[in-house]
Amino acid sequence: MYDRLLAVPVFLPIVAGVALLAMNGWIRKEKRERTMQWLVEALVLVNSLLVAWLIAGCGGRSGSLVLFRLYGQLTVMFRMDRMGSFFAGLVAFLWPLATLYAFEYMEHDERRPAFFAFYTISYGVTLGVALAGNLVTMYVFYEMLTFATFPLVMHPMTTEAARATRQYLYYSIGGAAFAFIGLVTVLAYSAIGTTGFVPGGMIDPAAAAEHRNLLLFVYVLAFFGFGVKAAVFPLHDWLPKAAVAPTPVTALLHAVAVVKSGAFAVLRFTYFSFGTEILRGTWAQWIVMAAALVTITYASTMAVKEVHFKRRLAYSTISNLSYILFGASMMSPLGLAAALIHLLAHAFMKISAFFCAGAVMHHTGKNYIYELDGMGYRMPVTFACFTISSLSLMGIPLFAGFISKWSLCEAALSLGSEMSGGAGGAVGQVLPYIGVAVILYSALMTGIYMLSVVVRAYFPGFVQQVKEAVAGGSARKAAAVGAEAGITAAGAGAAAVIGAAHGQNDVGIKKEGNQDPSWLMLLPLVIFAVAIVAVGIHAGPVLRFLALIGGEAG
Amino acid sequence: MSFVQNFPFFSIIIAMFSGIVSSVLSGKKARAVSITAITVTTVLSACVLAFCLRTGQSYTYMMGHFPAPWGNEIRAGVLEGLTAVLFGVVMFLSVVGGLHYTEEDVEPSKQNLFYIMIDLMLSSLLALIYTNDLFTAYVFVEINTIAGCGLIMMSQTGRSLTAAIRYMVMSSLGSGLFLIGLSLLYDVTGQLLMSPAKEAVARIVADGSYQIPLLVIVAVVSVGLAIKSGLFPFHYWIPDTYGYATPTASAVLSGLVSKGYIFLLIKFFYRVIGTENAVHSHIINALFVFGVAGMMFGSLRAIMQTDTRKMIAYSSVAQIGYIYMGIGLGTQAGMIAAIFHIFSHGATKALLFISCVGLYKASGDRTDFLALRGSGYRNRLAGAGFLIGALSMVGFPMLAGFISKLLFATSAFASPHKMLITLIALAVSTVLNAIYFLRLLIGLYRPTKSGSFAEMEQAEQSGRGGTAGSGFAAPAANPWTMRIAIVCFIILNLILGLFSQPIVRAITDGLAMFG
Repeated sequence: MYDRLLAVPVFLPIVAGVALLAMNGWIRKEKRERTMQWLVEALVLVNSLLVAWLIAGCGGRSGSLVLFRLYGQLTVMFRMDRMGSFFAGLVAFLWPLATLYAFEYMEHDERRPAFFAFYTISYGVTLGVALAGNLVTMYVFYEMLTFATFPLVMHPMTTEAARATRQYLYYSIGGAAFAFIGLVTVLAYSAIGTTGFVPGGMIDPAAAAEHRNLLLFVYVLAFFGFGVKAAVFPLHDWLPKAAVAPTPVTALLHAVAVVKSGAFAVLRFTYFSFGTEILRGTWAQWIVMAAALVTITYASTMAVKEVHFKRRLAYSTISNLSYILFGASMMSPLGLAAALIHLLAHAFMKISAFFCAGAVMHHTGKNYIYELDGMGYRMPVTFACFTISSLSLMGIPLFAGFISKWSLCEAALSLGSEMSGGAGGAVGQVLPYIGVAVILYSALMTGIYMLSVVVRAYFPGFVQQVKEAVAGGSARKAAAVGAEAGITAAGAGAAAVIGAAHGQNDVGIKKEGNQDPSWLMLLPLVIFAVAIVAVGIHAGPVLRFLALIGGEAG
Repeated sequence: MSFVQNFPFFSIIIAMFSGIVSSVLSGKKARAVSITAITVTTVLSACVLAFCLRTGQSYTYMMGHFPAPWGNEIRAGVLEGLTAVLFGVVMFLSVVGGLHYTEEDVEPSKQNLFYIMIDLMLSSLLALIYTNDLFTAYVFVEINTIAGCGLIMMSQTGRSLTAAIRYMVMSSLGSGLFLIGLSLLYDVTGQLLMSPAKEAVARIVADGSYQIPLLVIVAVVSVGLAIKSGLFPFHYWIPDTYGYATPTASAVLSGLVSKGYIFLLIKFFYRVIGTENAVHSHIINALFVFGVAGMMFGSLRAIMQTDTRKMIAYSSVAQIGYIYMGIGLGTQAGMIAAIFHIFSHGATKALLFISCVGLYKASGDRTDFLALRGSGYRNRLAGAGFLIGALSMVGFPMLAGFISKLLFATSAFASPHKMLITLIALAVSTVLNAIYFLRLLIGLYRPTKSGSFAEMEQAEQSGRGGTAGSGFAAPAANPWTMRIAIVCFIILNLILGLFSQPIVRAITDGLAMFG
């Protein structure tokens, strides 16, 4: 009974979404959109509760359900193991909140039923990726995810949106095509005759020894194939472009569901199909690790350069996704656990950052960073949450981002000492340490690109002052202004955050009325901010759970 | 002898005679006769298939009481039956789906001629599938060419005439080469029936005599049939031909006719030359190389097109490349993949051609990308048909194209030298397919320039009701025949995608009977 229910959370949203599409015309004609929205929310909530119940019922044992046979040994099968339940739980937690947020964000949209239909379908498909019990099922849902989400990117229906959609489709399908090579190779050399996920991999050791380089080459292809959705460096370009989509899509899909499905797929493929045994210390490992590190460096630098609010966050997403991939590429239990904790932490941080950006865009129509002067006082709660997520993204202790970055560095250092014997060749000896340096560099860049928004929001005069000082030609004066502002920033920033959260404006900025969005948007934001702090302060249980996953699969 | 064993012969004759009878009938009656003939032959073929599956073996059927070396023979097995059934289904749906447009595009006085050509096409395809005699095959190859030419010319625009002439020239070249191959084979072996010829070839190979003539035979026949099926360097007739014919003709030509020749080639390899000899001759490697090249080139050219019909036609070039790649792998698994792709591409391409017409009609009969903007809203069903077809082409799981891709990929592991090339070619080709099919697909669901949804909705309403909208002539509601055809094609695609196992098993059994 329990096993049979596994398919329900996957197909319930899909069926509901399709039904919504079919009734599109009727809903719009009769103006039933309000009711429709609440029904969707109820359905998503019920589905999430069902997932929670299934996870609770799972309790370590992994039930499985074979739905049907695609061909030969290729079955579509769901299974609830620890790693799947982790991702499914994350998705199930985020989705109802994001749907709630979408109510307000989409209130003036002309095509709400279609939007909510595809949004809900994406929920089911993402759960399909999470609960997939073998590589084929994951591949199927990975492909379906592309097709369920492209109408959402296309939603604004502008030329820009169409161009972004095209690019998204080409990249994603191209990625899947190369991942497909990985799929058939795993099938051909599988030790168990199927593509089922086995912690530690299931490639036949004899075949692995015989076709070693071929398998490594295929692994690299499949890494980049699945990595497309995780926006790994040469294939990252679709993600900033896709920021053209409505914010609920960018926030939930392009910061969590879609991109993390890509990262999740890489993790599954690396740790549960190929197995780290074959890969550890090989050239394939260093290639994929280098790709992740290049992505982190590149994207965090680009984010500083970008002035469009959502696109800057998108670049930040790219760099953070490669943190996960960096963890994946360590091929060690610690690496897997670190990748998963960053997957969790980044989900909360980035979704709340995007929701703030969306709230600003929706209520003030401001899209660019340089327009944000003083916004911290007009939308106090929003920017308080944004500040929390910024600090967390930088990796300040007490926030979730610190835990995940710490785990990553720890895993990298342990890998470095493991490889120092020369097991991984010359590259292997230095690359993990370079990785730590890259994380530090990226933290600095994150500080610049996130805090520059926060500073603008709370100290509208500050940027102007620095500019004037620089224009005045006095470097020392500029530095002095900077230092002075820096010192006051530390104290006043905290005061402003607290003060602003109480709706008071005692810093002396002209009061333009509170433009914070309604509770529909604020509730998710506040919940995410609390989650960030909660994980940051009390990460023990999560870390222990993830160490279990790392232990069995690494 | 069971009565069912007569059915292959009956079906060829029924198709042939309905063509002859139609010459004195009116267009409407010819149409009825033609559709009946297709239905009946498909049912008969299904009986043959069931019979062969039950007995588990193939049989030869002697025509006119003359024994082997002299008489003419028909041979039916699981693979022949399956191919005949699927070809029949695709043909039926193509004719029914394009019925309405055939009436529009073809002059009333020539309506019956169109259906005569369809009948002849059907009979020649069935004959190519069933015959066990090489010369009979040649005769029906020619009949097929003429019928194909007639079908292309039917829309009687200037372009379709040049396309027909081009098709005629290329096809004649192909048949000529095939004939030369046959003559050489007859010279060397003294046989034209497939089974005795195979024994003779085996003797020759064992002797070590006539090695070079044998190589020439294989080469000439392969090239001849490759030209006729439009393999890469010989594909120049395809885009015009498929692009300017009537929808039914395009669907039938691209979905079936080129596949008929490939089926004949496979038969030639298995039943006359013997697979090992074909593999040893290295001709098969050339087919592999040109197949892969065709996959790339066809798709690249398709990307460059701005006219949908030409785009789909170039996509056919790429898909033919897939099939030859499978044959070129030179293994049993590769051949199974190739044959499955014959079916899946036949079903998918015909679906694309038929549903595209619906989109054209909703866009004022224009076929370029720009005009088709938003037509997915103006004609929902045709849009859905195109969506399924395009996804299948891209290899979306649960559709026919995915199984093809999977079979090609897994079969690649049996031939180590070609493995990596095959896998990467498949991946690259998928990307290219995605580029041109999905670009068009996005266009179909984008509103026209102004970007107003109210306008789109109006168009949608008018698509249902019949009033004018968005500047296009009122798109009449889809004719019911087309609706049935599109829905059936979609179902066929899903069947091939979801329940492929029995079909692949039947192909495997059928190939074993070929040997």
